[in-house]
Amino acid sequence: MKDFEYHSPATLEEACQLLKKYDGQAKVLAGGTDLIPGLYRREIVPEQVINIKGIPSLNFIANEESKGLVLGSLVTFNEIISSPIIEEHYPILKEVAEKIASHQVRNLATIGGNLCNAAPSADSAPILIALDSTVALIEPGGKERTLPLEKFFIGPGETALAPGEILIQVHIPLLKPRTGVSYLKQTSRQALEIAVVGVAALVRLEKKTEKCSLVRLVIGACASTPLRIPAAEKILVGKKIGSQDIEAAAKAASEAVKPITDVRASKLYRKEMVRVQCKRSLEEAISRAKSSPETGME
Amino acid sequence: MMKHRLNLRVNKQDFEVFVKPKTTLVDLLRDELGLTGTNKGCGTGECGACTVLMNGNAVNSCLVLAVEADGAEITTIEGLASEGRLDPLQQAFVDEGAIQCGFCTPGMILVAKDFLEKNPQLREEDYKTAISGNLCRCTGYVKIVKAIKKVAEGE
Repeated sequence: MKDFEYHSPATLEEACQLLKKYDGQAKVLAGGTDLIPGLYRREIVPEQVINIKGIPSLNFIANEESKGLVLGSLVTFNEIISSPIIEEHYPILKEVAEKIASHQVRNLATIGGNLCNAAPSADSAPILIALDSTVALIEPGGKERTLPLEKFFIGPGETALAPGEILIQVHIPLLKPRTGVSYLKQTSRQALEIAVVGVAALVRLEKKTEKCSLVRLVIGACASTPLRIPAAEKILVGKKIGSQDIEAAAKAASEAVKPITDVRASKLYRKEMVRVQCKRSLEEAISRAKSSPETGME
Repeated sequence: MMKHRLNLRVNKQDFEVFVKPKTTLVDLLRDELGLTGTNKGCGTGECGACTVLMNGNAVNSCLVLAVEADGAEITTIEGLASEGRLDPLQQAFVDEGAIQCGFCTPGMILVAKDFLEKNPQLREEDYKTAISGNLCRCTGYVKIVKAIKKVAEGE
């Protein structure tokens, strides 16, 4: 590991100022589970490391009536797994968190870090995009802005964060009635594995007619960013979805993705697995939508 | 490079040390404090050999900078036994023969310790989930799972 200067700011403002001052030379340290292996392998060689874990305002889980669920960016995946609020209102987030890495890594790794690292395979991204999440960013001086998560990712390791900006919160809207969500992660092992293909689906069905009123289908690990597939969504919206529609949507997704060949899988295999996993994920989301409660906020 | 002063408590003993920012917790424990029961395998959070408890949570100590442990309470395998008696998990590993070469054992025991404390109700598959971040290259997993299960079920 190369030497670097270490900073441990106690406030957000101090952290933003440091980031701005050392723009291009600094890395933010949160859970460290991506950063430290990068330093160890000398793939990342920052001159400055800014540890934001000493900032208390970034570690909380709140369920707010207007915003839905709000996660501070320092919330770890094991905190997501053990949160009663999440278990009751957003069980899908627990389900996804359990698919990430290992118990030890989940004790360290944070939701904000997973998003800011911007790996195309990041497990939290497809499901959060499918849930229509937004992220709150803060810049030096304290000005905040929010951005749909879908627009946050620019490329592998690249985000919409401006110099000096820090991701402070993730907002996840309330799940409406008759809405089902699913995240399927294809891997060759069951733990400590990076997704070959990750598919998140959200499906909402109308009352009585069971016609589909909303779909979001988001694929991870198959493009330079997590990818939403409007072509597949269009096939399903407005219909009482049958198995042929699901097949057609899955095929459209397979055609839309732009995966690479790497050590985990070939481009062709990924495309075919997108088809298979989209089908399964849509089926699971539809089945969950059918069994989801009728009451709640419209 | 400027060294940082940090104060931490390891196995109920207070330490004040000076470290470079790039020193990882596992290197501090092994090289500075002489606690070589914590093993270093991959150095990138994949093998679990360096697992320690940090403020009660099992973490890969290769994924934590020593400076991050300022003010933290660390437990390594050396800190589990008390008054000459092994921790129940250590005893179960011995009794079940869940140790072959021993390299993975401290990490296995410490992750199991954290997992059992946080999950009072365990299903059969949870024992494997608990140690899914720990590699045993002797492949002695069956006996390791048996030892953890023995403690969980209070035998």
